[in-house]
Amino acid sequence: MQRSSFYHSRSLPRLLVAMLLWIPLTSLAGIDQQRLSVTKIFVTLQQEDFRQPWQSSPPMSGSGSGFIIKGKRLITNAHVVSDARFIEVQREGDTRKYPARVQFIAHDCDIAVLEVNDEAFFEGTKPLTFGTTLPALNDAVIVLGYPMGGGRLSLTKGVVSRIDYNPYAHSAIDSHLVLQVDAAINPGNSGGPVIFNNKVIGIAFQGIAASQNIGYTIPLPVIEHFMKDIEDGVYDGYPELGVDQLSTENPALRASLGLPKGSSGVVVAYVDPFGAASGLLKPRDVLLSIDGHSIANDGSVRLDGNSVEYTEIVERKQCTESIFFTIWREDKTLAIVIPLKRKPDPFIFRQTYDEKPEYFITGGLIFSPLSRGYLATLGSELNTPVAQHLLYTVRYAKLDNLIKDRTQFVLLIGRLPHPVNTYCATHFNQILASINGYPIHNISDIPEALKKPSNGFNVFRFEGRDDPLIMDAGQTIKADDEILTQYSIPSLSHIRSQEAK
Amino acid sequence: MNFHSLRSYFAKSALLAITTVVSLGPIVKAESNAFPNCVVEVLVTAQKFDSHFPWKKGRPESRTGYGVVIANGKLITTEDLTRNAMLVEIQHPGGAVKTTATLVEADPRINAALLAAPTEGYTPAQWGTPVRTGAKIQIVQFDEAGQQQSGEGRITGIQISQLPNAPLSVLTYQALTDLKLERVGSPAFHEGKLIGLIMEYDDAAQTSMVLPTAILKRFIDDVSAPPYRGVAVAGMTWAPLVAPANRKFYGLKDDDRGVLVLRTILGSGAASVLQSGDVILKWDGYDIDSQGYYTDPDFGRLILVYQILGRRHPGDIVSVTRWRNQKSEEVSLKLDAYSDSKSLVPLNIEGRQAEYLVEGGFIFRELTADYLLSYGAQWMVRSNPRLVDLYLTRAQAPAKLGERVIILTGVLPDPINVGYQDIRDEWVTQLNGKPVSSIHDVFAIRDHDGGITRIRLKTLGLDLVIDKAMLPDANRRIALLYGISKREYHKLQAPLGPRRNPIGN
Repeated sequence: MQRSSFYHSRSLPRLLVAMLLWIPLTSLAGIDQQRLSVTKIFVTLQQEDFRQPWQSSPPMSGSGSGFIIKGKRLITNAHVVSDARFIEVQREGDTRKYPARVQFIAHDCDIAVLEVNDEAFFEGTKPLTFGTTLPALNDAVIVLGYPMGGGRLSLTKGVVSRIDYNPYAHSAIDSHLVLQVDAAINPGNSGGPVIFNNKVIGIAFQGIAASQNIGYTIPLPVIEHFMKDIEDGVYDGYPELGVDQLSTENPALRASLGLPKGSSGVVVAYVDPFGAASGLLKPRDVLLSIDGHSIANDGSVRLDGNSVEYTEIVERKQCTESIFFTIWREDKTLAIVIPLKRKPDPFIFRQTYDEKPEYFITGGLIFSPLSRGYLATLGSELNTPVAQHLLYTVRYAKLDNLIKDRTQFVLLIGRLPHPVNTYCATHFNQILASINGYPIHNISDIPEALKKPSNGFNVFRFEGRDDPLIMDAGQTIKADDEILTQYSIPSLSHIRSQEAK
Repeated sequence: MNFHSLRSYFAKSALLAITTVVSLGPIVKAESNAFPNCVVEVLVTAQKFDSHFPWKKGRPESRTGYGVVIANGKLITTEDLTRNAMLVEIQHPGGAVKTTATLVEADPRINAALLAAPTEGYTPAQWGTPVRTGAKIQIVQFDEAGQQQSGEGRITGIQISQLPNAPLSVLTYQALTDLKLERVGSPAFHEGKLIGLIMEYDDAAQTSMVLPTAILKRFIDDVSAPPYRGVAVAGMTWAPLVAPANRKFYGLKDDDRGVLVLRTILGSGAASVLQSGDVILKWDGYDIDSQGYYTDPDFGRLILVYQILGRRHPGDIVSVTRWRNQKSEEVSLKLDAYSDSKSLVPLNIEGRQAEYLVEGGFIFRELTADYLLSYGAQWMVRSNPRLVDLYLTRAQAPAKLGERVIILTGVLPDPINVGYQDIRDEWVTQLNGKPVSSIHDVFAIRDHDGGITRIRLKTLGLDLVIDKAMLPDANRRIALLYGISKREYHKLQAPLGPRRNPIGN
């Protein structure tokens, strides 16, 4: 689930240094039966170009690891096969490569399932099986995969160093349980199995740049959640409760809430309008227990003998399930059932893959929705006031109600120079507010608004700016054809249908 | 905030834009008394208050620059040299005898400072008249032994540019010289008369920024006729209006005149006669072109800004020709005095001590630019994005006069504030259930209620509550434990208008 705290978080830099263990490929590379089921995955991919959204990057190649599970499928990391154009898999000791296809991909927890049509690929292999419980600290585990430094299967050994929540770098915003091991995990290990007592208990997936002996693996509960989710043939993802809370450790706060002596819990401070709790919980509600587990003042619950955050219980649920809270509201104890539905949240700003960015070009001005992928292209420009406003928007869109009636923040991302837009080299990276007086709620509002020029001009207004961009509407239409040809652009726009969103 | 972090963000690349280097030949020479004996070394010990723990002071810092004797007992230098000064001393270049100087007035808006000190034996510099691009100048400094070095230079540009240590712009000369300048305040002469003080030197490009005497002379005249009035402002922002489509849209005739008014500042002179979307065709008798330039009688083509800050005083009334609803109309606009304190997020360039209150371990103060900049070069990333955005987008736009943003900079851990101790850099909207929009509100609420026990942070749906009965003991304990000499600093109702920067504060 997405996690945020209501105050300014300091944990961001850690997420930024987490490097995904996927290697760009230029060169190639068990334990008995198991090692036959650990495969190398070759990927040819093209990343989307958020600056010039009508085109993708040149094809690049890379490799990762994966392993065969029951049902003639393979498991790997989502980041190994994201933006893939062509995937091949190869078994240890087999010279053949077999084409594979993504069956399910979960960017929020970095897991993907691949299918291979050629039966020959599975000959002589035995699917790996998952364990049932997580190993404890200091339990010995082994990591199998195809990391850098050689072409053939590699095996490293280590112990479980830590079990904790950590950010998953692939989506840039999600955090889940992570199993940290001190076995060497290197680029190329991504997607490989972590074995304890001959069973898979994790998937190697990320590390920290400039650290030593810290390797992160996706642990069993997260894998189980994913496997259960896809049983119905669709990956829904994690439900979002959408609650920020304060601890009730302060006795004065407890007294002000009228909490009876002996009761404990956390108090709701903010409810996300796109979360499952929206409309059901409200600020000042004290969450006393979740699914029968009593919540401590610091937000922890006892689960399987361990003390974990109460959100771990939400984390283990599927979108079709419900949560049962007992809450303290206005001096009464109430039971609240929260059905966990996957609500589309356009302002979550998760890193996207495998989908072309939307855009619209008019008079050589390129408009595209604000996205994490776009922000990542700004590089050194991030340290400018305009980019800073975008970072603020991404972070506080919901909290500070910057959304208004929008479903997207549409930006002017660039200009394809042409005489029609000679004087329009300003306003880059600013949020489009209206065109010809029509508010722009998302990119699909642009074509309609352009149909109604005011006095022959298209007037583009931007948030927080009092000087509009103005273009002669008649000249714009003529210019567009020339711009398409001149800059070899296949189409003036790519706008997904509302249903697809 | 320190001198350099401020500079690294604000310093602009104006100097680096000069690409044609005129060869001047080696002219550095050691000689004596080629110019009036009017230059002294200014030695400053400065100490700034800590932005996050506003009862504390940072380490004393030493700076050295030059000052120029302009009259018996009076010297000028740059304000950034004397900023946060605890002690100002002067000495003869290369000498060892130091004399204490008094800071008479310093205005960070124009980077000018006036000092008073005994000046027997010196000959006051004569004020020069404005020079134009291409004028030959001489710049003076001294080596360690006190030998005068003079270098020849040439004025290569006259423009409004950003000050080296403040996000504010003034008229500056750009000068090219091969004398490697070591300190601020070096005087520049033209035909033996003072034409400005060096504010900044770019070693690689051999260019320097010179604060012209036109600015300094106005400052001295203003100080000499108290009360000090400061720099005039109109209270608006504007943008060039060059694009033909935009000009047509606003119904302008094709004569390349006029700039677009973007925004007027609440309560300003501009707000009374101008509004967003107006076009300014003429200002104070001068035609304004579509890029905002006019022809200044002294300096040639200059941006409109100088019309206001360089040629007029606060309180002056100027005539403005505005274009509104397809009609040209002449209106009168009263100029105000520049005042940082009217901002929602003041700059506090001069680093005044923040007014603050430590209550139950919670540290409250007003948000200022120098607070954010105290995070160092990465301040935009390191402080709360919401506060950064407030400063970058709304600093000049309070919803009502005197509105400020109260922040909780952090919490000093104590049993009274358990559960809240990780909170920092948050926007405080209410205290004890009452809205707060200035530090005065904070003190008024504290005084009225006998303590602050409920704190509401922006977008939080409930108050942070602390125990009122525990408060007196906790305040004493926290002050003792964290070595807080003064638990609060409140200047009572702060006057609006330019403030002095008194030594010792």
